[in-house]
Amino acid sequence: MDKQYLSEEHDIIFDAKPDAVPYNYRISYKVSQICLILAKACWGKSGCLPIKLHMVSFALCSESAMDKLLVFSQSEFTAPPIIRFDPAINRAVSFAIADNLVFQGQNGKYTLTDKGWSFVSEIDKDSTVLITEKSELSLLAKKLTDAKIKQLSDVWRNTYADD
Amino acid sequence: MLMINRLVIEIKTANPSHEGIYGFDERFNSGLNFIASLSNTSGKSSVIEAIYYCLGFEEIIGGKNEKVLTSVYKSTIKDKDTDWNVLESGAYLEISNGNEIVTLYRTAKSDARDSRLVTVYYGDYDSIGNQSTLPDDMFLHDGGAATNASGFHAFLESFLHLQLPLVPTNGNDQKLYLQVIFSCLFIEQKHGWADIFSGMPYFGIKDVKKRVVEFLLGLDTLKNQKERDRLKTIKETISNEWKTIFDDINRNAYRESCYVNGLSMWPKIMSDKNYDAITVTTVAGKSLKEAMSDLETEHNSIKQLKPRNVDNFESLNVELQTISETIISFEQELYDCDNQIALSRSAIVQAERSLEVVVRDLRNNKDAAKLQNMGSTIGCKSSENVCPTCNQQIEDSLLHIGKDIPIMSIEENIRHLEGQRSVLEFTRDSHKTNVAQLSLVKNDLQSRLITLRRLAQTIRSDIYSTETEWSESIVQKLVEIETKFRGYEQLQSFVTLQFKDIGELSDRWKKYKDEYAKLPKNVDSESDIKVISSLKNNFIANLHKYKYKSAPNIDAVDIPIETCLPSIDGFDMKFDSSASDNIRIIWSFTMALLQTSLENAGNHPRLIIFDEPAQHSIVTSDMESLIQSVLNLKKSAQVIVGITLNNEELKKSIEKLSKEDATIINLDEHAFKLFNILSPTDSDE
Repeated sequence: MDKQYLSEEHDIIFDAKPDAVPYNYRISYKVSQICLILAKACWGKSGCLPIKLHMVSFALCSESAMDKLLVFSQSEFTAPPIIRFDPAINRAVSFAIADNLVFQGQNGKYTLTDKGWSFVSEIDKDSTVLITEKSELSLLAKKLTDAKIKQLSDVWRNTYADD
Repeated sequence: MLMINRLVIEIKTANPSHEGIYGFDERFNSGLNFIASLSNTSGKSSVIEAIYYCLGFEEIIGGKNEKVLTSVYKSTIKDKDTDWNVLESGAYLEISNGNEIVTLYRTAKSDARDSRLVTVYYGDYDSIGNQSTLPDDMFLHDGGAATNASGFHAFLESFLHLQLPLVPTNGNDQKLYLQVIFSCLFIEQKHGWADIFSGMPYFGIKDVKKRVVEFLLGLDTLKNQKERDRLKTIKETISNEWKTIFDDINRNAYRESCYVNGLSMWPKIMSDKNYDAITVTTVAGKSLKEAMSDLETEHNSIKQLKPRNVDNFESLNVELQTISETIISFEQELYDCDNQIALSRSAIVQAERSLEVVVRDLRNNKDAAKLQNMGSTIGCKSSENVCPTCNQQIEDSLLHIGKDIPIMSIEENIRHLEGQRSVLEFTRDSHKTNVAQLSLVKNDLQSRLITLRRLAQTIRSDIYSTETEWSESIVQKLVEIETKFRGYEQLQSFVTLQFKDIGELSDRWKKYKDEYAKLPKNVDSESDIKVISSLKNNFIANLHKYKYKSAPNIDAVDIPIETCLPSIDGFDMKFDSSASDNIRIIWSFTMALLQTSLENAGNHPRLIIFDEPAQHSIVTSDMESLIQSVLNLKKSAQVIVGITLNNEELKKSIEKLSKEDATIINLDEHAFKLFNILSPTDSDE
C-alpha cells in the first residue's frame, strides 16, 4: 500500500476500545461479596481478620479452592491451602469502608455497619443474585475460626523465619 | 369488564386508642364515582394509589413495589397534632368481572410478607375468613408474572377474559402487558396529564401505543397476529418432521456407505423434477443402480471362474498383492482419521472449559449489575461510579490499569461476554459435528478393513491349500457381494418408501405457504378502517363538547390507521395546543376509546380512572360536559374521578347530581380515620 497516501491524506486514528473487566474485579461484585462474607462467615461483633477475608474470597473463585478450605477448616492435621493475597480485595475493602458499609475496629478486624447489614439483607431477599456464593458460604458458615488462622500464621513463622 | 366494588385500606400504628388501626373502607358503584375532598393533601391520591397497587399496576405511577406509595403507607400518619409511626399497612380491593367476585390483598409495609405477593380471595371482602373462600398467593414483577400460572397478571388476564396478544419487541415476541393497557385507562395525576398515554411503563414493545389502541378496539390486525402465530407452529411441526425423515434417510445411507444428494434439509414443495434430483451414490461415486449392476456382473464373472485353486494360482497371487496394499493405505487413512478425531475432541474439551469460565463470568456480571442497583438504592456512591471519598468519577474496576484506557460498563461487558459465549458455542458445535462425521468415515473404513483382511486370509489359505480343493476365496467373495447387493436393495426401497412421506409433507407445506401468503401484510381490513373512523368521530365530537379551541378547524383532526393516534395536518396535536387544551385532548381520547369500544364490542375493560382531571385552567362548564358524557354511557362502564372541590361552582354542580347517577365519596379532612369511628357509619349505608 502507498504509505505516503495513507499518512498524508487520511490520518488513521487508533481508538482504544474499552477493556473487559472480569467480574472478580468489579467494585459492585467484590464489595457485595465482602459484605456477604462478613455476614455469613464471621461472628457478628468480633469481626473478621483481613487474612480471613482473603482466604474466603479466594475460595469463592473456584469449587476446588472452596473444598480445600473446607477440609482445612474442619480437620486438625491437613496441610494449609495456598493463600492468595489479592490487592483487589484491599481496594474493595477501602471502597466498602468509604461507603460506610464496613468498619475497621481497634483490633484491626472488619465488621459490618448497620448500612452494611441492610445491604446484605437486600441481597438475601433477592434469590436470583450470588446463588453459588450464598450456598458455598452457608457450607463454610463459621467453621473457619481465628484460632485456625493464627495456627496457620504460626506455621509460616516457624517455617520461614530467618532469625 | 373490570369493576371495582370496594376498597379497604388498613394502616396499623401504635396509637393506643381503637387498637391504632387507621383505614379507609368505601364501596364503588358502576357508572360515575367521585373521590372528593375540599382541600388538597387529604389523601385522594393515596386512595387511588391503593387501587393501582392492589392490581399490581404501580408502574403506571412510576416504579415497582411499595416505593411508589405515599408516606402514609410507609412511615408516618398524622392524626390531629400527633404523628404516629406506621407499623404495618396493606389494602384489600374487591373487584368483579361482571360475573365473579374476587378480593385482592397486598401489603405495603410488612415484615412477614413480600410486597410482590398478592393474595387472591375467591369471594367478596366480607367472606374473607370463611371456610369456602380460598386464598391463593400470586407473584408480581418476577420473570413470568404475566405468563406463569402463579403470576398475578396471568390470573388477572384470565379473570378479565382478556386474551392478550403477542407483540413484537426488540428481541422476541412478548405479551402486551396489562400494565401497558391500563396505563391508558388510569390517568395518574402527575405525569398522566402530560400527553396521551404518557404514564405508560417501558417494556421495549414496538409501536406500543398503536398496539394498545388496536387491542382496546379489537381490531383485525391483532387477529391476523394470532393467525400468524398459528401458522408459525404449523411451520415448526412440518420442519421437524421433514428433518426426521432427512435424518432417517441419511442414516440408512451411511450404513451402506452411501451418500444422499439433492434432498433439501428444510421443507420445500417437491416437483417430479425434485424427486429425480435426489440421488443415492456410493463412496466410489457411482449411483445405486450402477453399483448394483456392477455387483451383478462381478457376481456372474466370479461364477464363471474355475473354482479350483490350482487353476488360478497366478491371479490369486496378484490379488493378494493388491489387497495387502489396499489394507496398508486404509490403515494409514484410519490412523489419520483417528488423529483428527482426537484433535477435535480435545478442542471440544478446551471450548467447554472456556465456555464454563465465560458462563460463570457472565452470570456473575449479571449479578454485579443487580448488586449495583441494590447498592445505589441504599446509597452507596461507588455503585454510581462516584468515589465515596473525593466524589470524582471513577471506573467500575478494581484493577490498576492506565488512566486513559477506558473499560467496559457492566452492560457492555455482558454483551461482550454473550458474544464470546456464542463464538465458543459455535466452535464447540462445529467440532462436535466434525467428530460425528469423522466417526462415520472411521466406521466405514474399519468395516471395509475387516472385509479385506478376511479376504486376504482366505486367499492365503487358498494359495497354500491342496491343489484340487474348491477355492474358499471365491465362495467368500460371492457371499459378500450378495450381502452388499441386498443392502443396496433395502436402501433403495427405503428411500422410495420415504418419498411418500416427503410427498405428504410437501403438500402440507404447500398449504401452509398458501395460507401464509394469504395473510394480509400491511393492508388494513375494511372493518378496521370503519372502527378507526368511528374512533375519530367520537374523538372530534368530544373535542367539541369539551370546547377545544387551539386548532381553528377541529374537523381537520385525523386519526391515521398507521399510528392510531390523533394528529392534525400530520403533526402531533400537542404541539399546537395550549396546556388546558392538551388536557381536553386526553379527556377526549380516553373517553373516545371507551365509547368506540362499547359501540364495536372491543376489548376495553370498561373502567377509567381520572385523578384530578381539572388540571390547568379548565372551567367548571367543561368539567360538567365531561361528567355529562360519562353519564351518557349509562351504567355500562365505571369511571372513578379523584377531584378537589376547591371552588364553589364545581362543588355545587357535583352536589346537584342525583344519588343514582353518581357515587360521591367525601373524604372530609383526611382519608384515613381510626377504624372504629369509621365502621358504624359504614354499616348504615
